[in-house]
Amino acid sequence: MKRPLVQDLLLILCCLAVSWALFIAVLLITNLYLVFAVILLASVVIYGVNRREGVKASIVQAFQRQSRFAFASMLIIVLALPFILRSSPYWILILTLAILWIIVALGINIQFGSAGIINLGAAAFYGVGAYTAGMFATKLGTPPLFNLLLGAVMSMVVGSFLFIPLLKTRSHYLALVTIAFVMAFHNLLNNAEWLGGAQGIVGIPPMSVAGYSFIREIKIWGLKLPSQANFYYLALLLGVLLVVASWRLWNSWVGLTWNAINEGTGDELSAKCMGVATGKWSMIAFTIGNFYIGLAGAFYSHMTSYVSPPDITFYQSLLFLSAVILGGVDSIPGVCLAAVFLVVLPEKLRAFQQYWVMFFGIILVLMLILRRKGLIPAMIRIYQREVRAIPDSSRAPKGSNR
Amino acid sequence: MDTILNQIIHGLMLGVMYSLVAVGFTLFFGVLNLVQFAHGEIFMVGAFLGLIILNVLHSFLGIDNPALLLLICFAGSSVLTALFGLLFGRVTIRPIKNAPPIIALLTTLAAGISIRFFVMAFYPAGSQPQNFPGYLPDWQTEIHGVQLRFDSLFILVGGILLILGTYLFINKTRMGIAMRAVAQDRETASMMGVNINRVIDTTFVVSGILAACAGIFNGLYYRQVIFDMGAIYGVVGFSAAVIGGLGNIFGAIVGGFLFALLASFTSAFIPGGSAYRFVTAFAFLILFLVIMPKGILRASRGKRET
Repeated sequence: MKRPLVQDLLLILCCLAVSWALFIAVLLITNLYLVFAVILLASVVIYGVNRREGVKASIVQAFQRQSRFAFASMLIIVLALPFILRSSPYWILILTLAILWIIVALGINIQFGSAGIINLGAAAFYGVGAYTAGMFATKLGTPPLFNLLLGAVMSMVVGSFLFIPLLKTRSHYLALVTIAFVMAFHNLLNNAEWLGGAQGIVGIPPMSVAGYSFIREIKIWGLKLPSQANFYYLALLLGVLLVVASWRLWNSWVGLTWNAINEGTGDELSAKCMGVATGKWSMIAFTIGNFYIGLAGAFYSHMTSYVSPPDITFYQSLLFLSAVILGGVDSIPGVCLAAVFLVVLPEKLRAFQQYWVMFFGIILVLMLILRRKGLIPAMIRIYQREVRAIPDSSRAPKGSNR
Repeated sequence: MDTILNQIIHGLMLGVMYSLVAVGFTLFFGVLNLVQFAHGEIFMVGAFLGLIILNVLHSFLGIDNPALLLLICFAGSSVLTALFGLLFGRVTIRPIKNAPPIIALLTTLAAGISIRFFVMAFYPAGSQPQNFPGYLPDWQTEIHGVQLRFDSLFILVGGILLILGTYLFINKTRMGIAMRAVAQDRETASMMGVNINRVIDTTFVVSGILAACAGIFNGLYYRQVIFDMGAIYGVVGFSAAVIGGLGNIFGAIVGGFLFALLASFTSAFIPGGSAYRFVTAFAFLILFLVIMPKGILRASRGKRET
């Protein structure tokens, strides 16, 4: 089958240009009415494309056929973002936070999305990463990059305390275990004096790599970038690595194994009969997810140089988990998109701060009732090239039995 | 010895409140086979409705008789909370009746958060703790070094009466028997002519009344209510229901008292323990789930999926 190469590339570029233009417009416009107008416009565009099956199918196919090109152009855009936003360092910081959220959400996606392990205690593991990095940096003065790794590893180690409950309990019992864990952890942090108590850890030194301090401005080709761009680029590097890792895991037999032991998409009993070591694979999924979450936590404490118990609550865990639910369970692009939304929207709607959580809850409920597959439903794995020719919409979406 | 007795009384009083919430969880799980995580928020709504009723009666209608005030407060808040629960059930639970358990848990959790922050945003100065007027007499006495406060005794007696009432309702009335039948086997019950939707509505009403009373008890004892008090009660109530065995009413009561006694003993006997009472309580819960995942009293039914 002949592929209309140029047509595909143009389509991809067009889609990316429109969506990123809208996104940057939302970020930079300060007038709230205009922001709402842009969001409305975006919704109308998305709704229109969604309604026309032909247009939707050709866009999806274009992205599938030229996935590398799409990925590369996305990469160029996100690399260029600090240059576009260089007059507003605040948004560069928020976008860095968004990347951290993407990392956390990808970790939870491995646990909850792929393997079906409900983790309502993600904030606790985030906290383990953040506190480990903070404690080591302030008390021992270890280098930040080492602390990042240590935070992630520590989060894995702490996660292993929950291995036995993980193996012994299912669905809402496991949910209760993780909730109890994060609540106990929050209580502990609030009261343990050696961990800074309710004040948390202050004065964590900012990130620096091999003597290069991250609080310096960047100068490239006569352009000055605010110091926040340093954090952005490092977070971006980690984020891209972890997205690729997540993608490779998802698209391999490992991801398939996780789906097999997932209560929603798979069947644990059949998986066991087929020789899948279900316990081992759930532990692996849980540990890898905690690595992601802990890494993001450690980065966070080196970015804000401050971490305290109010960041580590059950509610925060639910926010993290909701990125997976909103974006699409087991769908990597969806999860990334939702994580960005969940960081950027409340920042943009600061004026409505006290109503935001209420609306967030309502959106989550509506999503769970009406569109359980999420913003971007998980894709079907493609194992043979020829199968690519079949339009995606003609097949039953994965997880439709949910 | 005296401290032990004092702690036991305090624990029993807390246990009454935990049990009332836990019974709600267990009823939902029995009848609907799902975890209704917004129950803690219904408890909070009950307390706030009670507060509003008290304030309205006192400042607008000028009623000063504490007994009458409390009576109207309990009755009014129970009715309104039951209605609220009913509405909540119709809007969020009905559409997800057949969803996997974890989806139901997340949906109710999110709905609960909406309710919580709705109260914060729309109750005047809602983000601050609200004073709950103490209409109970300040009477207290000491018997052999054991302090007895009137409000503790009131809560203890009132809570036990409520629990007894629920027990009688579940076991002796037609509707209660229908509820147990649905809990055992929904399909068979509906074939026998039980109206499932009415049973579900009744569950919301009963648990709403219990939660409202628990909320007012909580307000009367601590003299203040705050918008996020449902969060901890939700988790504790759920934990108590799980410890007792989800779906078993008697188990939920036992679990509630066990959890409360554990928390109050930790704060009494471990040095500096009062700050860590939830750490021990939740650590105990996790251990408990590992050792006895089905709770102390398994639900008495033939088949059960976890």
